[in-house]
Order: sequence, then C-alpha cells, then structure tokens
Amino acid sequence: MNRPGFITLVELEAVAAALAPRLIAYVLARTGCRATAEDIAQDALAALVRRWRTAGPPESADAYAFTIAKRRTARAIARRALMAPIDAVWNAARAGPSLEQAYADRAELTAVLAALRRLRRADREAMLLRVVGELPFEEIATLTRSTPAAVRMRISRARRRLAALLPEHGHGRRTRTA
Amino acid sequence: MDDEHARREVDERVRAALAPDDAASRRVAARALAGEEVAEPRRPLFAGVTIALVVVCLAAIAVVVLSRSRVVAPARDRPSTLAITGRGSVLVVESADGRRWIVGPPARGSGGSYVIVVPQ
Repeated sequence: MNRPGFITLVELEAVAAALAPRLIAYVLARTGCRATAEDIAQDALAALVRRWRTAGPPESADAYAFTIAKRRTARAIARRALMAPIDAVWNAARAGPSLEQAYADRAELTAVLAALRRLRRADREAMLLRVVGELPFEEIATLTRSTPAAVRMRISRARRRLAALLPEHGHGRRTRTA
Repeated sequence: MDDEHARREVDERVRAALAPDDAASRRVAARALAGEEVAEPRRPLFAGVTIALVVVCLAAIAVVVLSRSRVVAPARDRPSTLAITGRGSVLVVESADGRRWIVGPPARGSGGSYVIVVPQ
C-alpha cells in the first residue's frame, strides 16, 4: 500500500539526519562555540520539520534550513557581543572549564577557525556554505544575495587564502563521519 | 592538478576540523524531529534587563529628589517668624532677621487702589 505521508516522514528523517552535521559545522565555523552550534542547528531543523509537517517539504530543504541557521547565527553573534560583559561575570561565578572551552582547545579546530576569521566576511560565508553546507552555487547566491559567478569567485579566493593561512597539517586529522 | 589537489586539501581540512560527533548530530536531529525548541538563554538577558531597570529607577528617583529640592529652596528665604504691628491705618510686618514691610492704605485722590510693599 502506497502511503505518501509515511514516505514523506521517512524522507524528512533522512533529510534531518543529513543536514544536522552540516548545520552544526557551519554554525561552529561562524561562532566558534559548539553548544551554540548545536542549539542553532536544532532550531533550524525544528523549523524545517514544522514547515514540512504543516505545508509539505520546501523547494530546497537545504536552503530553507541554512537560511534560518544563517539568520539565527547572526543574531547569536550580536547577542553575544552585547552580553559579553554579563556572560564574563556569570561564567566567572561558576567554576570549572566549559565544554566549549575544552573543545576549542583542540589545536586543529583553533587553527582552522583562526584562518577562517582572517577571510573577508563574504568570502568566508560563501566558502562555508559550499564546503561545509554543501549547497550548490545557485542556492548560495540566493542566500547571500549575490550571483553564482560572484560566489564561485569568492570561494576560489577564499580557498587560495586559506591554503596560505593554514599552518602545516600535523597528525591526528579527524575524518568525517556522516 | 596541483590546484585541484590543494583545493581538496583545504576543503577536507576545514570539514574535518568542523565535523561534529556522530552522537551530537543524531541528538540534534532527533530533538528537532521531536519538535523540541531550544530555549533562548534568558539568564544574561534577564540580568541585563534588570540592570537597565535599576538604572532607570535610580535616575527617576534622582530627578524627583532634585526637582523637589529646587522647589523647596526658595522657602529658605522666607522669614521664620513675622511680627505684625498696627500703627493707625499702617501695618508693619517685621521679620526675625530684621527685614520690615510697611502696608499702608491707598493714597487719597489718586485713581488707583494699591498697596506699597517696601522691604527694609
């Protein structure tokens, strides 16, 4: 028996599972905070799930989720900048290193984040959406209000600059598991 | 080919550094599918709003106190006690600090009716 609703829900689970690591990686690259990355990825996926269940799948689930993640990441960065002094006091009152700090201490992540931060904002955004988000050039262009040709140019420029900025690769490279 | 190799190397390195744990990815996907929303971190926001409210309240109190002190200030110039004596139709008002006011009847023959107050 053909059950389109059931098939759609199975598809949704597969899409969510495939999107989750890419969203987390994208937000982590922009915020440098693993906890924030997971929170924003979860929010973006929850919004996608709601949309899928109420009005059916969007034209591009990837673009839909990354649009939300991009907007919430910008908000989180702005909020963090505003609340930094209060957060500093709040965290000082609670002893012990945070999970984020422990993660950030990993040398390779720190090196990659530092190199990414030295890229131009538009170049970095385009490159992250392509390399980590795995979005097609056209969707990146729509997301960043640009053209596919400009996106290609930005990504190429970002890669060249990153190759020059990243230090020599040491041992212990992590492999991606999907 | 070298460019292609370098491109792949950079992409792979960025992906590998940022890749989350499988457990984290599964947890995030499962919670999203369960419809769980992440609560906004309200504690710092609450603290910020509280501090702003306290500052506004203190400013309001300061404004009220200052404005009252300005209104009350002229009262210091008023004499604390007044002695009023009558000499015929003339009233003499004398304060403890030596100032004196003389209140007389209106001058005859003139059209107006007025009082002359002369501080001395």
